Amino acid sequence: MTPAHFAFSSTFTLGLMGLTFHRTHLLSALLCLEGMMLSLFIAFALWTLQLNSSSFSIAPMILLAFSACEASAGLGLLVATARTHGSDRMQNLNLLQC
Amino acid sequence: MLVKLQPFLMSPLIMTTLLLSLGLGTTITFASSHWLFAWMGLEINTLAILPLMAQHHHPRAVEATTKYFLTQATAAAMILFASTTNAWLTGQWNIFQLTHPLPLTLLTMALALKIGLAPLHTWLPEVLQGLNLTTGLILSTWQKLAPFALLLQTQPMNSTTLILLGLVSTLVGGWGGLNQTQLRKVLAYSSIAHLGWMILVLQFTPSLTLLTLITYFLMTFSTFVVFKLNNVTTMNALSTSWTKSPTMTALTPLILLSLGGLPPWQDLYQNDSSFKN
Repeated sequence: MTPAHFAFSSTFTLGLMGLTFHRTHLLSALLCLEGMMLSLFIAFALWTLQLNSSSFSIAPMILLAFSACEASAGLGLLVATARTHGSDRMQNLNLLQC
Repeated sequence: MLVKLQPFLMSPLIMTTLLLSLGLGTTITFASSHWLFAWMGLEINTLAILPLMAQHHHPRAVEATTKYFLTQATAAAMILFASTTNAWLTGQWNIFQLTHPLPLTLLTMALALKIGLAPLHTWLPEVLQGLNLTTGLILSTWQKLAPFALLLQTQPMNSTTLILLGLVSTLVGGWGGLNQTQLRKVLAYSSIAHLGWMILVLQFTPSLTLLTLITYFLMTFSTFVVFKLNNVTTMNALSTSWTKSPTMTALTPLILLSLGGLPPWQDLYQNDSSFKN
């Protein structure tokens, strides 16, 4: 395992841990998701650079574009949840459990 | 709270675009052999169904959409992380060549989160409860196809992870649906149990898994359509729907028993042959 591999793996794992165990605000969940996607972006970019593969160099940009779409959808849902539930706290999202 | 439920809240143009993107996402995942394109298909799929789920600005629908978004985004990121780890370890981006055991386990867990298998199933009943029946039908049939295609293609042999997931799913699906009065939650637990059966036979006979998947889609489709026609969401309303449409109510138990796998119908033979294998 190279240092770069260790770096992006631990970044991703930390983001995933934050998303799973720190469930107070919806905004922090979205930030954790974005951190995970950015660590994947770094992984893609470093893979392309290390192997000098020019045909793969579009892949980090595609990843970044799609994760931006995902983040904007998440922010839209944040606004919708704040309008219907009053705040962005995750413990308010309890209408459906019974 | 004053909520108006209009059937055509969305303009037809936007609705057509969303439905076409929904089809496009699954098709891209089916047709791809590169992990990045498979992930793109899954993302397009998720992003296209979010507005369909949240089209009525009801608190329950918005909450279900948020929960669905969080789980699907996490699962998609985990799938991409597993394939990237595989590429760093083995240098392969091909779907068929995900061979290293660590990314393979990670990918299996991510796909289990995506289709709602048992230790990671808790989002499915809540999300299905918050949706209307048409979107629920799309969620429990069409949205399962793309992750299932990936699960069939990676084909982990001799995997105890899959057997454990399948066993826990059948148990949780069977027991979870027992004390429910809401029809959509019962259907969600039925989905968990059926997917558990499919996962159990996946590594022995993939063709039987496909047959079970098609049968499950057929039964779930007819169940949702019957509920939609009667406009029922609880057991109570279903038991009084004979006053409205007697023939439909007489036919409903046949579909439900077939979904449960009673003798004259198809599902029993599949479970039987799974045991024989």
